[in-house]
Amino acid sequence: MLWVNRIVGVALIVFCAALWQISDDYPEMARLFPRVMFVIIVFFSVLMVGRTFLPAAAAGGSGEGGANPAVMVRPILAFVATSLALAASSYIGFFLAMAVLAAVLVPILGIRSLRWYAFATVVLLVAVYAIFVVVLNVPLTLRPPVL
Amino acid sequence: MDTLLAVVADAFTPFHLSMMLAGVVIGLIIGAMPGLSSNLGIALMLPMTFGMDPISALILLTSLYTSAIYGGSFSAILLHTPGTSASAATAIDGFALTRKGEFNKAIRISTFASVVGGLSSAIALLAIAPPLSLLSLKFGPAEYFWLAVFGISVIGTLASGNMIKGLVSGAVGVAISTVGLDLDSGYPRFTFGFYDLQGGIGFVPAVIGLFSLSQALLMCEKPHNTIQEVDPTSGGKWRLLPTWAELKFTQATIWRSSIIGIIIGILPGAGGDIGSWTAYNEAKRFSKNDPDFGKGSIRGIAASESANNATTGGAIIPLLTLGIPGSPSAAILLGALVLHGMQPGRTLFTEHAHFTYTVCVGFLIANLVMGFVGMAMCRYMGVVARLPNTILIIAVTVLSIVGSYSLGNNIYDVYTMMAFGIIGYLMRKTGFSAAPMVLGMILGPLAEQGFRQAVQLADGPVLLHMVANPISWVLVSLIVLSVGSAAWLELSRSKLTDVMAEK
Repeated sequence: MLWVNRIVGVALIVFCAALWQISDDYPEMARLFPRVMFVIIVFFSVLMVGRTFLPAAAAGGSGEGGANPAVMVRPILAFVATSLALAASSYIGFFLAMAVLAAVLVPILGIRSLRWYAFATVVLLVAVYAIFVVVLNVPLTLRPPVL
Repeated sequence: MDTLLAVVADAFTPFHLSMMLAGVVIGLIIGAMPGLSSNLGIALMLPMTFGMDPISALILLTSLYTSAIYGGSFSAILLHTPGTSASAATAIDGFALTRKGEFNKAIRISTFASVVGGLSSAIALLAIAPPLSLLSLKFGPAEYFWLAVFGISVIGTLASGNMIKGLVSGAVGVAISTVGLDLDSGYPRFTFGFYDLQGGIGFVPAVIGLFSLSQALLMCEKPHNTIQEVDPTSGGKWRLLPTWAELKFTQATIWRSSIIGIIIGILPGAGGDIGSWTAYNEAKRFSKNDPDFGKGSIRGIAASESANNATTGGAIIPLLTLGIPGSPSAAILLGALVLHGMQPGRTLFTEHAHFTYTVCVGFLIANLVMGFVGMAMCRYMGVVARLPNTILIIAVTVLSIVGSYSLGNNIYDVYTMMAFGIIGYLMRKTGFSAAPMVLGMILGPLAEQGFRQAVQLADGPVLLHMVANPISWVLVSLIVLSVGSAAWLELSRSKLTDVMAEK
């Protein structure tokens, strides 16, 4: 966690410095409060980075999930697949895109019980259609807009 | 008297009762599923309430909140896997009882304690909130600024294991709230030429991303979680209420823990998990003559469950009166309140008294409904808790997308949700809590408004003007006290780690 805290701390300091520069053109009252916040963020970031050099002080606040960075491969692949499905939904329709997403997640998540998964996905999409499209009138596209 | 009757009559209308029932059932299911929390449930349900009137929406969400906290006890008792962090202490004695073949007894006590805790907190809400709201009348711009800082500092120091990370998260949340058109000058701030950003960063999509999508991504790490199997059909005799002996044995623990839960709930940021552990430790102290404590004692279950449900009403007290939520879930409820056109403070108890009291009475009834529904569903909750993660991942992902899109039928909200989803996931991986960021986003505008008004009104040094009022002094002292005590605790912990390492 030491190197993570250092990277995050330095990144926040750089980010705040860049935003401070951007806010130069703003009217005085419009930039005052954000700048106060940037100073506070930089102050805490310096403390966070500084703490990593103290023995045992960096022990608190460990992250959730697996500690090995390799465990992040699946979540990142799932996130990319979801983003692509979202982009595709404009062309192939929302429900078809979600069905494709469910299919793409099968190899990513290593799903074994395909029949149960397919059944649950269909039930989920039908429920989403019933609640959001029929009851709440959300304009989710059922089929590709070109059809 | 007429107002009271009107409030009770409104709370008992078939539609409001059906909202309570829906909230309770959804909350129970979400709470029982390990990994899914009340935060996630409220965040996902929030978009569905947009078409409703404010009373129905808040009744649904508060019912979901209290029953999700209670629902966590099912998987804690049945599977030794707490459905929510608030039920972690329940797992100790609850699962031990299940192993002894007494799961019905454990569920019965958990249900009774949760109902008593929830009811006590609802009564406390009705009794404490109206007079406390008078305090908000004494608040000027500077006091509101310090109040917002106090809320963020407390949730920042309590919500995560690392105080500095919590405070960073809160400060970043406040900074995010400054994105969009400046309300005074109309100047676009940090929009980078994107028209959609001029309206600011949507609170609801951000919350859905931070709590829901990030959870789905976290579950992707272990999509085939194995949970211990226990046969719930061999759990002893089913009874709706505890026996007289069980009541006698646990009554003192339940009352004590309910009071602890209400007090901890009122503290900004200290949610059900802190409440349940504090009450559990207190019950342990008072149960020196109970050899079963920690090995299957109903007192352990009663302490944890009454306290965690008592925090729910407690957390709503500062939310309604001062706009400072007592827990991360209450922070989302505050967002819901504002989205439905209600502003916390005295007006909720004067102009909008019917709304406020109906929601509070609805919350009280929901706690009773929760007990009956919970006992009726208990045999099936083991099945719910064992739903595969793979199904939950796709369900949470699809609902996060649809929920954020349905806010304004705008794809920008979905992109916001996705961005905050990955940010939330990375935050959780690196030990940053999302709760302070959410609170920062909510309280940011309040803090900025108070700050700017104080700056404009200041006749001399701004800081002196901001601490001129005794209320400001009290709030500043509380901020110093909360941050100072958290820093001292962390330093003591570090020294302890040093000593342990040397040994």
